[in-house]
Amino acid sequence: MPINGYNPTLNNLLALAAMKAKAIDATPENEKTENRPAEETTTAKDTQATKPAPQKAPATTADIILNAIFRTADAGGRAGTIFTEELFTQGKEAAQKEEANLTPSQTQLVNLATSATTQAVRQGISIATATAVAKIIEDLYKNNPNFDGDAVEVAALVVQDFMGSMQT
Amino acid sequence: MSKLLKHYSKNDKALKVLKSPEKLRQVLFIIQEATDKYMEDAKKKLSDPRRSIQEKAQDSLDIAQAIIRAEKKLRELELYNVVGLKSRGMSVIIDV
Repeated sequence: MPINGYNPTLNNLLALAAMKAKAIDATPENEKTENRPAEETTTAKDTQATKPAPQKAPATTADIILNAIFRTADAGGRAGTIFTEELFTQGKEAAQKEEANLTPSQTQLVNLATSATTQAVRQGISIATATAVAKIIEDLYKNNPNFDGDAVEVAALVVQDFMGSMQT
Repeated sequence: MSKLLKHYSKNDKALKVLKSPEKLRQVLFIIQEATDKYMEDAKKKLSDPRRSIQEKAQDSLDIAQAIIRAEKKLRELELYNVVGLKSRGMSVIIDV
């Protein structure tokens, strides 16, 4: 797709979401690392005792990603929609991987959100592509003296409408 | 009233162009060229050995399809205009 939107707010959100997701994923690893020197000086029994019991984090990676998605969606814009699709894909994958950590309602939420976003993304891409195609058409002919300026504009407009919402 | 004219009923510039046989012909020419451009683009992508590029051919075909739909409606409008002008005894300003 010819869309390559740059949106600092979204990029920041994505970075934040990634950091949070990493933090959640890394928590047990960090705990293990912190305990490692102690484990070396203790008995095997102690080591077993000091091993942190696998804790179910109150918020899973999928939750974090979903929160980021909703904030990203709030930020709006076409670029936002496209980034949201990526985030939703990540969220869905995370939900599938951590299915055991998700309640049925959370799984349902992820699935619902994914299908809703896919639809929104398709619409967003369609509108963005329509605008891009219209711009290409307009740029190709607007400086051509053989074509009336209004005719060029209307041609671009009609194409844009047919690719976008009109499609009658 | 044609569907297309109804759709652009609040856009004076569009109405003026769509009702003018000469300007409408220019619009149709542009749209035909655009279809050719995207069809050619799809053909090029399909003949590329890379699968990732081949998959993108569908996007170009979708665009071409939408433009063809637009052309179809514009052809209908062209006919509508011709019939309308003829019925008003103004066929002298069109060469059909």
